[in-house]
Amino acid sequence: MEVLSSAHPIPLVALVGNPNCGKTALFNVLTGSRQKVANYAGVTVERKEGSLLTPSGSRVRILDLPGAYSLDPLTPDEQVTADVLLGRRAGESAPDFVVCVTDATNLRQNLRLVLSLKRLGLPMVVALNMTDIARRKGIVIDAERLARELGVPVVETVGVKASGAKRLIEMLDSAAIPARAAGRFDWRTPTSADIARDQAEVRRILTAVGADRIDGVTFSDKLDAVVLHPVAGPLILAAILFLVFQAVFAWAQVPMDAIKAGVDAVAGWLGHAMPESLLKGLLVNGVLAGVGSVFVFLPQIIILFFFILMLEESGYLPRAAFLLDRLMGSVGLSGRAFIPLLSSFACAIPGVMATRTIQNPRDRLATIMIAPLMTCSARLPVYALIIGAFIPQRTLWGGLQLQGMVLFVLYLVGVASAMAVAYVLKRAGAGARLQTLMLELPVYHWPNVRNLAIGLWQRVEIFLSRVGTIILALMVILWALSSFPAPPPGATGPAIQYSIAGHLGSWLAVIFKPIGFNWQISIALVPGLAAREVAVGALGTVYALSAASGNVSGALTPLISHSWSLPTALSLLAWYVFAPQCLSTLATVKRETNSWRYPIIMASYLFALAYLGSFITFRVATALSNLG
Amino acid sequence: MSHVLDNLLVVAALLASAVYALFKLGPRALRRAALSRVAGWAVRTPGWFGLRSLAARLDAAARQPSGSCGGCDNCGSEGGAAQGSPPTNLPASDSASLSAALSGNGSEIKIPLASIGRRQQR
Repeated sequence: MEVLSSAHPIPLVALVGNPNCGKTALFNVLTGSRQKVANYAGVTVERKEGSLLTPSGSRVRILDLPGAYSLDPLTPDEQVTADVLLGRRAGESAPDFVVCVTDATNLRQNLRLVLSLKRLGLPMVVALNMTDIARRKGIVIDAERLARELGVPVVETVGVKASGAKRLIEMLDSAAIPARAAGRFDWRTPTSADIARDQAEVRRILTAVGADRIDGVTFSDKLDAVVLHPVAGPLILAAILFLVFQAVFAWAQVPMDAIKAGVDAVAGWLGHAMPESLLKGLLVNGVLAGVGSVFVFLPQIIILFFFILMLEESGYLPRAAFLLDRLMGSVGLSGRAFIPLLSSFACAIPGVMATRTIQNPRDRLATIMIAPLMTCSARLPVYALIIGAFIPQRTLWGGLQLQGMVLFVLYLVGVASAMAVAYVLKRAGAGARLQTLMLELPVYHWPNVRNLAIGLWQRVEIFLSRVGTIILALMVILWALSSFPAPPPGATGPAIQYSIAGHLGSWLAVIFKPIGFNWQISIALVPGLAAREVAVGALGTVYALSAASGNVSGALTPLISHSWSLPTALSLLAWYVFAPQCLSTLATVKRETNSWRYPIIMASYLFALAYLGSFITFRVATALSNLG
Repeated sequence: MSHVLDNLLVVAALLASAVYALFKLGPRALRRAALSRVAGWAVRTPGWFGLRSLAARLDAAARQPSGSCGGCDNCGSEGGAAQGSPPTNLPASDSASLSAALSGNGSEIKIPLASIGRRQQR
């Protein structure tokens, strides 16, 4: 491989293609990365870079770009792709070589981008991806003939197999990537005549390579007849989501009990093995009580993501977007907002980033503003703790668990609040006008076990990483703030009441008293600003230091069920439905909107909603319990 | 274990936690400045300390954006979220050039809200 000029001695190869054609899967195979892949368009909204060491020892930089249907961008993610390819990105030269990834099962659509890229004049190879699926569907494409017709090399690839990019790597290894003057492109925005010419050329090529067959009714079509049915479709969607939340509680109980027992055993052993000292206090009341309280929710996180990943991989999620388009349109959101909002169920940060696929700026802004109202996975430990403490483990009709139903309702409240806010934004003129949803529905397929396992492992890594780093650090700090200064001689209350955190909690309790929060909850909300689940750890530490016996790591649930009233618990749930207790989300909103204005507006309205929601919940629940 | 050692360990844990929390939750500019400063100190140490590779990694980390939540470090990180830092097994010249190329990318994307999503004027 020819090495380029001294400014960029390592060639840059860009993966370009239509959305959902398998670019990121191919990128992962080429670079050994584990970037997120899913069976719907718009997963990649940002450039990702990795490196490949070819068999001959050459180093190549590989760039994974967001999917694009053309080089005439309609959305911010397509803009990223066009800017990189056209050399318009500040401080970044255009790629030296392009791998145009095409979906072999949908060549008719993919070839138009190939023709556009060819006109761009960059050295290029076409990767005919998903050839395994195409063969199973009886689509056999003559790659050599396709190469002759296009005038560029064509290689077959299978992005989901480790060996699927072998021929592409060989080609990158053997191809002489020519040095090229950067930034000189013969590119102009295509006219309608150009587009018509491209379509005619695509039809000619498809006929020549024997890929002009148009499939009749496929298995996906038959399934869609049921799944997208106006009546059956929404019912199926509701049933799927309902079952997911049932499983989160029903399946997680045994592993959660095992983790709790493990944490208790370690705390008990430390309590007996170590003499009374500051170090023992830190380990038992700070680390184990705090971190252990969060760690026990790992099984629920795994189960939730297992289902989310299954739905992503199968291709069902875009169907859900289609089903909800009418509802979203009625509150001023486009159907395209569904995927960002769905991503926000995992975490609001990728959800906010995924709004780049939304074409209309006002619609994008409205989606960003409501993304934090979707129930992210960090809320799950908080919800699960309170539900576990206050909602009995009762089975209702048909074996349905009451706790799972309450969790389902909390998720629904989050969605309903988001829709309500979107409606208000629409009325205020910030939402979008009703737009037609044009969405590519991928073919259904069984989830790839490797992708599923990698996705789950990544979620476990993220959760454990948070528990072992920032949550641990904050718990140590909170333990110190809750332990010093020591109580004065003759003090009668728990030591924590005389500490810095105790004083802070009593000041904050004045603000939070009208919504039913005690000083322990008020303290927990402060470190909980970093991330929502930190509040659970903080409650563990605060109650450990408030309790007579040291070990409460596994006993936080019964402790809060005795010391809080039901209205207080419901009020805290309402708080967590709305409160923007996540600095990272606000920072991401600032970055995505390029302004402090929107994160400030977002934090203000969400805190106001949280306080109002908690106040109403607490007062109504108190009044009802007094009546009872 | 003596009380003195116990207390020393507690103080060390507390200091480490405070620095880490400030590092992760504080302003990104502070994080970058701190990493660059430490990388600068490391690179000025005599060669036999063997801190040069550490300096290179710290320098790369200073340029790499990351999430403040301690999670996936994938919130808006376009500057090489996949494998943004230069591979450490590269020859020094290649590593330096790759590092230079990556640093030229700009650490984050800025798309002003008002200027996105509009079809180019024809």
